[in-house]
Amino acid sequence: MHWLYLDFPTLPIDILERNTLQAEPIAIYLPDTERIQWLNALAIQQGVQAGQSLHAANCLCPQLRTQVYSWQQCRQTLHGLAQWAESYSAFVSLHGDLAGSTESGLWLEAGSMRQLFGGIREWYQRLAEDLTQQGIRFRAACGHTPLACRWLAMQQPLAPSGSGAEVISDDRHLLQRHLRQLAVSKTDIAPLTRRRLSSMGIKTLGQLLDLPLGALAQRLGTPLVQQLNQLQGTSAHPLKAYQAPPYFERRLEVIDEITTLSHLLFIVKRLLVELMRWLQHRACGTDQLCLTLHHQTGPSTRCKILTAKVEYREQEFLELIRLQLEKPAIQQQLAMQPVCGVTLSTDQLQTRIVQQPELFSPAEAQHTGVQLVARLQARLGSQAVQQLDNLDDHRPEKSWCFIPVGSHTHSHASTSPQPLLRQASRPLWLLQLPQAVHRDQLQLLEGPERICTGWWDSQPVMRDYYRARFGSLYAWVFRTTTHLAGPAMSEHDYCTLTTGSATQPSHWFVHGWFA
Amino acid sequence: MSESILSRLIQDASLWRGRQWHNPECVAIASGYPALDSLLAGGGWPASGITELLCEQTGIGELSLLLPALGILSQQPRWQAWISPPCIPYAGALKHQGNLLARLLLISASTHKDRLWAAEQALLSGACSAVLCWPEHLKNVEWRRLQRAAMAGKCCGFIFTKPATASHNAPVPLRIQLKATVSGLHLQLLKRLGGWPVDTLVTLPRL
Repeated sequence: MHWLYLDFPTLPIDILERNTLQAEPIAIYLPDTERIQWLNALAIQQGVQAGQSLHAANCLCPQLRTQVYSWQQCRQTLHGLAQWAESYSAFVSLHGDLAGSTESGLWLEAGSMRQLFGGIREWYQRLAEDLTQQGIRFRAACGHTPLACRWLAMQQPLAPSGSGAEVISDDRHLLQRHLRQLAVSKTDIAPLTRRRLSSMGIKTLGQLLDLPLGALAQRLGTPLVQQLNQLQGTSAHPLKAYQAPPYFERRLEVIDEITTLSHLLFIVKRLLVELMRWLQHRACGTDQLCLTLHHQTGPSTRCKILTAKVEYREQEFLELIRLQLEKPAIQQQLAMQPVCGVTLSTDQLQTRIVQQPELFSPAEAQHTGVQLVARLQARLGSQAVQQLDNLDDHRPEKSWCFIPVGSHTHSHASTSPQPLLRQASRPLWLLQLPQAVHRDQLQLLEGPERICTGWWDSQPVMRDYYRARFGSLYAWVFRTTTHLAGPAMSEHDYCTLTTGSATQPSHWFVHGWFA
Repeated sequence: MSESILSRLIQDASLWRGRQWHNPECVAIASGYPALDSLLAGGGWPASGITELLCEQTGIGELSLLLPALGILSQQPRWQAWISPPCIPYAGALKHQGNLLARLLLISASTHKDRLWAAEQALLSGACSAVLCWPEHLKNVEWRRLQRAAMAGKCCGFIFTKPATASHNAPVPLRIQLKATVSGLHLQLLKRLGGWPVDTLVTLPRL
């Protein structure tokens, strides 16, 4: 086994820095001691140092932005990085997953990847470039045991600014040489033991490793010997393999509040890129995203983004999200309550269907058709874009229904037998609610056509339909024949329903226009 | 002297006379009414452009006028977007119009702005063969935007307006006023491509 350890010593500051639009001095302090633990380059320029008290740092640099360390957020980012690392190694393990930990790092099994990437250096090169693009600084080293590569990595300079390339190798002897040169004071060995070793004159790991282990165990205790055994690979160092959850959820916090759409989209885009990588890695897509905007006070705003088809490209999602966020209601809320964090999540994973484009067919048109529906639904709501379909019922109001877009079964026209009714006997416009009219206004032309019953769903009707002239219009009118219809729905009810007043009962209703 | 020059110019056909029917090269969708087709450039509705239909009332026969053309267009695998129609298109009557029901996309937008936005998106996308929209009053700029979108998306746009609120000269290639009479639907071509307005009324028989 061969290992690579990626150490992220500046992770808390990197998370903040990559999400801000303009550079400013930032420092992060630990909640219990109120001492500065991490700080960025601008803060260092101003004279702020790690270990300073919060008060001192603020005096040195009044414009310093300070924030308390959030283990939750670091852990989430680390999990994100672990999921990213899965595309580089089959075995990934976390360091610093325990509650309250201030360290974070990843172990990647390197040996099995050598052939795929054409050598360990090439593999590392790609990995490092990818990581740098994400705005994360790191230090890395290889080793034949997990502990060896971790200790080596901890003494490397920070990439990308520094070069720690000499410890990226699979040469066991070279790595062993580097390991022997490590200073004992900078390792993970317990502080008390370190002090005792230093007073014994043991400065480097090489000196320590030359000592007989039995004597060391007697003088300095078994934990040290256990560690040295793990370092050399003579005793096992079990690592827990990282298991990605079957859903995607990322939260980004920003140090300065978001009040503009462009800033918000900048943050959303970063999340979408992560989502895209995540979906790519699993070879799946999604048709449903949930975007949550967290406010400093008050409840958070949730937006649901639905796409018309299973999608995985970040550009498509971004376009739909932009349409949602451009809504005046959200814009107003953004101005009233600035956003301090954004969460993007999805648990609706679906297999990606790769459509084989036909050479001379309008596959292109179909594709943009789906996109058009998605775009319209994003802005107007999913209920605002629908299709119509026929139902097998002879009552006009029950003979049609709205159906979701795309669920239409293919053309009825070609398959259905010749209809019994003449086409012109049905109007093109149908009124949602029949309109009461007076008999005097109508000039009956054709009819009657009786449409009755409906006892099976206890909404029976008994109507005589006519084609009639109504001024210069041609109307589809009906007369209710209540004396036959029975007690289920009286004419009186119908008048109340349609005209709103029961004072003037009318027998005649317009139900549609022959437009 | 001057008359002879004029007659020579006319004979040479180097002079275009206003009264003459000038048939510009344009793709059109047959309306299904030969009397109307003979008056329209290309012999039908403009295949990529906006047609303004001025109807004083809903239900005077505006759908029957378009139905043959929509039936032809439904053979294309593209949507036909109906944006906020005043009533519900009756599925029972549309099912005999080819694929129309399967292509019909019913879009309801509550505000004028949303309606225009939806119309522009649908026209521009290239995914719609026809767009029918019932907006309120449109400004000249908005007309122009819709026209450009229809040209870009190769889409047949029908915009229904009320004569009372219609602008005097919308910048679209075809404007037709619809009037219902006892004998049928009367069309008055207020503006058309490649010809003068037709003052005489064209009457279409009732379907």
